[in-house]
Amino acid sequence: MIDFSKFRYFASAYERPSFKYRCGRMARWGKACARGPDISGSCGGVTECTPLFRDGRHYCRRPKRAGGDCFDGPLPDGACSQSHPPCAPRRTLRVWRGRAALAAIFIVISLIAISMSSRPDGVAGLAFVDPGPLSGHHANLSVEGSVACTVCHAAAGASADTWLASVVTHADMDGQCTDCHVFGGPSNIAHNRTLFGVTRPDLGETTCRSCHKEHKGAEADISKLTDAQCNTCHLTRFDSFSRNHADFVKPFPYRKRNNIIFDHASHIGKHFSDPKTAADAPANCNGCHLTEQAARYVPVVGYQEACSACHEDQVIGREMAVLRFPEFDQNYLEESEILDACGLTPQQAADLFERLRAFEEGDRPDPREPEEYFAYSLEQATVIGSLLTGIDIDDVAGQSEPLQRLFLAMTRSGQDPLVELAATRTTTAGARQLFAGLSPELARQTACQWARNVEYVRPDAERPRGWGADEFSLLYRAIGHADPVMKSWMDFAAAAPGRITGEEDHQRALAMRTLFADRKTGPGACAKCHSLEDVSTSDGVEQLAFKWSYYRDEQRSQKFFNHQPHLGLSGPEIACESCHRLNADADYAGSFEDFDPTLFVSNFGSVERATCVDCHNETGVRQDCTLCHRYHEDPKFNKPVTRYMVKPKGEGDDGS
Amino acid sequence: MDPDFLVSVTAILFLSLISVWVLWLGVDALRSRAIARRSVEAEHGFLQARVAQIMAQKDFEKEKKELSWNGYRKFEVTERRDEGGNITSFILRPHDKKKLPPFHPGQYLTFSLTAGDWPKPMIRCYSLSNCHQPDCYRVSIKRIDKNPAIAQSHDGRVSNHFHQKIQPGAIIDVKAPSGQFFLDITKSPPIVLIAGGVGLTPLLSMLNAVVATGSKREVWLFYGVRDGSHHIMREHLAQLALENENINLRVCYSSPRTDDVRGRDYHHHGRVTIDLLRAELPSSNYRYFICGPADMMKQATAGLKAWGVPENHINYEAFGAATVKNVASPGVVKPDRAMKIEFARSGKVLDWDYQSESLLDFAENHGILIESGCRAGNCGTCLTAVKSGDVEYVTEPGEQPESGSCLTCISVPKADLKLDA
Repeated sequence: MIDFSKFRYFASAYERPSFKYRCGRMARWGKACARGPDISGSCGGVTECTPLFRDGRHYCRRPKRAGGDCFDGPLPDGACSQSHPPCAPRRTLRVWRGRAALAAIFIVISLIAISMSSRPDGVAGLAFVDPGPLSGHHANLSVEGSVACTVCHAAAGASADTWLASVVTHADMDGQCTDCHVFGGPSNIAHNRTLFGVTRPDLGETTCRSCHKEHKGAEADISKLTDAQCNTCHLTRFDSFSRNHADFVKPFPYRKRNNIIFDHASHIGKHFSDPKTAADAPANCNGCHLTEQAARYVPVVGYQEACSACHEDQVIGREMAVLRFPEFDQNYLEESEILDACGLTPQQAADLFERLRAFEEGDRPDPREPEEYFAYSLEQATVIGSLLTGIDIDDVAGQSEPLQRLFLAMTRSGQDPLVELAATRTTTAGARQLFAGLSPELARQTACQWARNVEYVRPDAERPRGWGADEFSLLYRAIGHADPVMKSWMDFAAAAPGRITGEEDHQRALAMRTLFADRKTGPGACAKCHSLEDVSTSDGVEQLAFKWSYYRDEQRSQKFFNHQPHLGLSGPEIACESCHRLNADADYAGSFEDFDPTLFVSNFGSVERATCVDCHNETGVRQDCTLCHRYHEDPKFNKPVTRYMVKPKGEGDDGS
Repeated sequence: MDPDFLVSVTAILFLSLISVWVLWLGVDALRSRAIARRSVEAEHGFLQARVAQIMAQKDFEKEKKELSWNGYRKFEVTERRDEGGNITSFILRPHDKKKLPPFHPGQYLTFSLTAGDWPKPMIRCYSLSNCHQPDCYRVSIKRIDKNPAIAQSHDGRVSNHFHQKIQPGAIIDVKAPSGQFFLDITKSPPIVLIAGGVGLTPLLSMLNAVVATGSKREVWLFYGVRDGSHHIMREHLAQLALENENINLRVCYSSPRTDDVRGRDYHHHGRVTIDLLRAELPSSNYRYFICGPADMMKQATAGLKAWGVPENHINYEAFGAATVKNVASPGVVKPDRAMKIEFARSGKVLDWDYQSESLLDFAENHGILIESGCRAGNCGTCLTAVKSGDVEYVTEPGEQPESGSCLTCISVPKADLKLDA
């Protein structure tokens, strides 16, 4: 701090902040003379005053501050009698500071000018302007074999004024990073994150170089973030995770439900201890969760090892009735048409033979009278059939002719009419997938029988897995877990209500989805474990889908937890329960009634921050921001970097 | 021309200039260090001179104290020289042949003389007319003759006694040198000496002292006499002026004789006036030492004051009845009731007039006789007992009078006063 009081008028006659010189005596002995240096820097204190001449006498003008009129008074020639040897005034610190600053500026400018003009390519010719080596892979960027400044610096090689301007604005640096690096959101928005696609201009834009500083050496980790850097922007600041980080928002981390409905509470509490199933129950978490492969997620062993022992029977046991021979009100088909396609049954052939013989014997019946029609089947049409053919299950009169016509068509060309009908509800390929593996012969045989208004008699006693039929129904039975045909039917059913318009058809589609989504009776028992989830897109069309994979599709890329190091701490048996504490009272199953994955009640209680703080604290394990948080949303390269080439400057710019 | 080349050349030029500047800074630092060293040396010399001056003063005081004497000391007149113009110089050597104390040039000796027809010893003060010599003093005494224009005047008794009776070999009583009118030879402000007639004597002492000490201080001597016959020490003065360029001599004859040649014998025709000083001096910034007839001193003092010279720069020898004293400032307000001065022996009670310069003047003005000598508070002749009341001294007495008495020549009443006179 400068003591400004020394500049007060009564403290010093001449010492001012802007004065270039100070008294030499002051510098040497700490006691300035009363007059101080004059403006040219020579000693002004040789005499103590400049006497005034008036009326033949010189009058002393020594200021009161310096003692007033001196005793001896001026000499006769007007000189002051109080003379001192002159001192050598010193330049003030201010002057030296100014000179040093000027000299530094000139030297820097000069050296830059020399170095810039010393090499024709504009690349630094002198080592001192070398900004330092690039880190990692950036060091390999090159243009035609030489260092590729232009890859990042748009102004490199440009004219001197552009170059100078970019020193101040850094504008030449913006935009080049995203030539290679892309993110899950806009690169110039904090955390690449927008709120439902809306950016907030009031938060301003970010630039890559705000955090990433290059030219720090080959070994430098330019992606490392410090807590201080986070705190630069975040208004809610805290000292450390352990001290005053916000508590986790409950339920943490179970914000969305799993794709697979697995009620830990009922399994552990009920089924694993049930004598019927206890033999197959896992001993601990490790039985299903592959803790040795734990990372961000702990993978599970999968259906075959974990579930099939108990649930395989349900998978293959629940058949899907695709088509059924229902109750008809009358026959709408010409017998000849059926005969044409199916030929005679042994019974009919026997009948015909009998009648021919009777005819030869002279028994000529009257022109045939139509026989009274009686419904052979009293079954109800399937929900799938009603959707495919557009019939009402309850409307016997209405469904008779369409179904009979369908059966007739099937007698001619197998399952093709079914595929065609399905193709009107989904894609052709999807339709083929629905009926994949269905033998045309089975389709024709069942159709012939049902067209003749008789039951189908299965040739073998046991109904096999896959396509099959019984007396009145065309059925599908899952071959095993993850049966592709069953899966495609599930997907078809889930998507149908969103895809099919028309009041009645939509209702039928909903009925079909309800059928498939039934967790207790649904075909293949798929819906027992695979959740049906609302995957509606932002255009407003309601869309549901069964979730097949164990992992959720979207992952929270900006938070990161690694299970692995935690599991080694106390052994896997109790390690899981240290954080994931089972909550038997939670309505886990109920949270799957709805299709919204965020309305979730986990089997486990929320993980508390305090649990983490037990270890992650000042005296324990790391607790910096980037241990758990990632800045970027889904960082990746937009193209293979190895093929990245920067077009040399000038090429193509001139229109050639 | 290639702009890159220009940029390069300019930059190199800049760098060269900066290099030159840095070199120059180094040279300048050396130069400034040399200046500082010289400055320190000069300061050192200056301080040494100051110390030497102070030491000289100390030595002077010490020597004076050691060698001085109290009361009267017997001196032998070893030589007398007629200087012309009724002025005779006497060389006095101590009868005991011991060393003499130094004195300030301008001081005087106090003599006590007895003669057969005098009822009591006469006390007189005569200025020393030479600078200090360790073995002898010199006084120059003008013989005072009866002024024919004034009826009551008479010949100077003591001066005539000196001129007529004192011959080499005579023993006389002398007090140690004293007096406030002197030149401090340890200092060096330029001085102007204004002498009228025999008033030259103390100023001559000063002049000789300046020359003797080798001081280069500027000295002007304005010496006013009637004519060549009164122009004493002519050769001595002329030689000093010739040999020392710091000494300027201006001799003025008020009424030159026919054979007095201007330019050879004197410089100005007329008295030493303030106009002459204004014409000769570059400014009034001198210390003035004036000694001469009362009229001249009064005029010179008034003229100098009018010229802006402060009072403490004007020194004059105060002796005799009509010399200049510290006149009561004109601003003094007379109180309503004047102070009563009672002269017990004369039986007079008078109102103090606030204008008289001393009680002695006041008494003489009213016809009351008080014996007096130097009239400068030195000889003690005018010592008078104070019966009641108190007095104030206008100048510091040379010797503090004993309590209950006062030196009437330099005192004024403080309140109602009763004097034994």
